[in-house]
Amino acid sequence: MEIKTVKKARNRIIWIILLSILCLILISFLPWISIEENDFVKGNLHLNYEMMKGSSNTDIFILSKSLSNINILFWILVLITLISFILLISYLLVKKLKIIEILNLIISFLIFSLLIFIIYFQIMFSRSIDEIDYITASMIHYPFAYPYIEFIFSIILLIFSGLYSLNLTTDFIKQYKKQPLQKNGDVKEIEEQKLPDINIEEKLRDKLKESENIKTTINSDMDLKIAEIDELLEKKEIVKNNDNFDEKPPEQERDIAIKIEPTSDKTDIEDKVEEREINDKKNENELEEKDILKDPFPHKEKKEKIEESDEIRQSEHFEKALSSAIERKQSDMKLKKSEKKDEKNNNKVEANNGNSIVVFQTEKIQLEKKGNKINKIFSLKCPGCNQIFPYNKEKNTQKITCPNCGKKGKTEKEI
Amino acid sequence: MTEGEEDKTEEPQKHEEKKSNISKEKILDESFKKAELLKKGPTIKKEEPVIAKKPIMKIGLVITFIAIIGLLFINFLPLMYIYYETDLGSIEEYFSYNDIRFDLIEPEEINNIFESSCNNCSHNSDYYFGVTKNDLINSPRITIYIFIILALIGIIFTIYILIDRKKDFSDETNTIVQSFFIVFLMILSIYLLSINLKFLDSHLFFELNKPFIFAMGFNRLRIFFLMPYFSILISFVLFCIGLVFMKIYLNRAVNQFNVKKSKRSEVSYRFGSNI
Repeated sequence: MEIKTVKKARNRIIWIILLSILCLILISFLPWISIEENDFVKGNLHLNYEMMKGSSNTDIFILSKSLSNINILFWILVLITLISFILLISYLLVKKLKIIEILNLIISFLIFSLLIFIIYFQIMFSRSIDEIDYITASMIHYPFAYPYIEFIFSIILLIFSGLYSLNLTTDFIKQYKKQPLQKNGDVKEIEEQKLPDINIEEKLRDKLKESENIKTTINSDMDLKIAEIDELLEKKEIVKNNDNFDEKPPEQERDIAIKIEPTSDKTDIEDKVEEREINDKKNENELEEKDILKDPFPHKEKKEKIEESDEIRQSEHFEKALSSAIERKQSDMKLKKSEKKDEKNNNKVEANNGNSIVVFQTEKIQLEKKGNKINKIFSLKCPGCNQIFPYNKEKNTQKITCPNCGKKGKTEKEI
Repeated sequence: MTEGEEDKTEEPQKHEEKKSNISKEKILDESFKKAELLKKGPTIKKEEPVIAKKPIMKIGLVITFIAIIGLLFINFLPLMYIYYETDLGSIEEYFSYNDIRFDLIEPEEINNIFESSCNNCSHNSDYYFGVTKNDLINSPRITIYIFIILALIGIIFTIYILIDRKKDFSDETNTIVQSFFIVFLMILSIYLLSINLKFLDSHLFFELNKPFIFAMGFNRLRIFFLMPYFSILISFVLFCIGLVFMKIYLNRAVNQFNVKKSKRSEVSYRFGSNI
C-alpha cells in the first residue's frame, strides 16, 4: 500500500465508524411514524422504534419489523467497520500478511453492499408507510420528515464506503500489476520485489560482469599474441646480431665521430652524416616492422584495451627493442649540434670582416602592455662585441645596429 | 680536616641532594601526569545508562474506575424523578431502581404514563413517552452488567500492560492487542448509549405527544431519569475515549508504516547519472 492510500483509508474508516454509530443511535432515537387520532384527542401521535415494537396495531408491528431489519444491518455494519479497523492496523504493522489486505478489501465491499441493502430497506419502509392511509412519516416541518435524516446519513455512509472500497481496490490492482504472485501460491514480499531500482541494479551488474568476461578473454588472446611476437623478435634480434657481428659496435662509432674534426674535412663529415641518415631510415623501417608484427590485426578498440591492460609490459618491451636505436639517435643529435656551432662561428668570422650582414642572437623576449596593444622587446646579443641591447620590433623598422660597435644586421628569426 | 668533620659536612650535603632528588621526582611525576592528561584529553565521567522502564498505560485503570463509579451511582442515584399535578393534587417523588423492580410504584397514575390503560387499542399506541415499564427495569439491569464487564476489561488491560512491562512485547503486538481492547470498549459503550438514549428521547416525545399525555388527566408533568442520564454521560465519555484511542492507534500504525517505507527508500540503491 502507498502512504497516500493508507492515510485516505484511515480517514475514511474513522468517518464510516462514526456515521454508522450515529445511524444506529438515530434508529432508536428518531420518531418514525405518526398516526392521526380522531377519538377523544385529535392530533398526530408520534412513534419511535421502541413504541412501534410494543404496539398492538398489526400494521405498525409489520412496519417495526422492517425497521428492526435496518437496525440489525446497522449493528452488523458497526461490527464490520470495527473489524476492518483492526485489520487495517494489523496490515499496517504486520505488512507481510497479504491475506489481511485481501480480507480488508472483501470487508470494504461487504460494507458497501450492506449499505445498499440498508438504503433499499429504508426505501421499502417509506413505501409501506405511503400504502397505509392513517400512517404518515413523522414530520419535523413539512415536507421534511424525521426518517430523511437517517436516509441522508446512510447515503453519506454509502459514499464514504464506496470511496473506501475504491481506494483499496485501486491500490490492490496496482500492487497486483507490479508484483506477480508466486507459482506455489505464496505471496512474495512486497518490499523486496516492488522497487524497480533493484531490477536496474541487477541488470547493470550483469552488464558489468559480461564486460569483465569479454575483457578477460581479450586479455588472454592478447597475451598469446604478445608471446608469439616476443619469440619472433628474439629470433630477429639474434639474426641481426649475427649479421652485424663484423661491424663496429655503436659506441665505437660514436667515439670515432667525436674524434673527427669538423673543420678539417667537410667531405668526410658529409659522408658520415649520409651514413647515419641511411642507418636511421633502416631503424625506422625495423620499428615499423616490429609494430606490424605486434599488431597484425590493428583494431582501434583492441588497441585501447591493450593499452589499458598491459601498459607495463608494452613499455618494457619497447625499452628493450628501442634501446640501441635511442643510443644511435643521441649520437646523431650531438653530431648535428657540433655542425651547427661550426656554422655559427663561420658567420661570426664573416661579420668581423664587415663584408656580410651580422646575425644578432636573441637572449630574452619581454612583453610590454600599452593600452590594448602588447609590444615585444627583444634583448639581442652582438656577435662581434658581445654587447646585449634592447630592440623593439614595431618602433624600429630599419636594420638593427649595435650601439657599441655599430655593426648592422638581422635577428635569427628574420633570417 | 679530620674524618669526623668531613662526615659532618657531607651529611647535610647528602640530605640536601636527597631532598632535591625527591622534589625533582615529584616534579617529574606531575609533568608526566600532565603529559598523559594532554595525550588522553580531559577525563569524561562515564555515566551508567539510565534504563527507563515502560510507562504504565493508565487507560485500563481509568476504565475500571469509571465502571466502578457507574456501579456505585446506579445503586445510590434514584432512577427517576416525577412531579405531576392533577385535579386531586400534586405529587413529587423519587423512585429508585429497586422500587421499580419490585413494583413499588405508587400511585397508579404513574404506571399509566408508561403503560396504557387501553385494552383493545386499534390505532393508537399503548404508551406515549417512548419508555415502557420494561425499559425502566431492563435498561438499568443491562447497564449494571455492562459496567461489570467494563471493569473486567479494564483490569485485564492493566494486567496485560503489567505483563508487557516484564516480557517487553513489540510495539506492533501492543498496538494490535490494545486496539482489540478499544474495539470492545467501543461496542459496549455504543450498546450502553443505545439502551439509555431512549430516556433522553422521552423528552422529545413528551413534547410531541403532549396533548395525549395531558388527556390522561395530568395538568402538569415533569419527569427526569437521573440514573439513565448518568449512564448516558459515562457511556458517552467511554465512547469518546474509544474514538480518540482508535484515532491514536491508527495514526501510530500509519506513522510506523511511513517510517518503514522511508527507511526502505533510503536503503534502496538509486542509479543516476553518476554511473
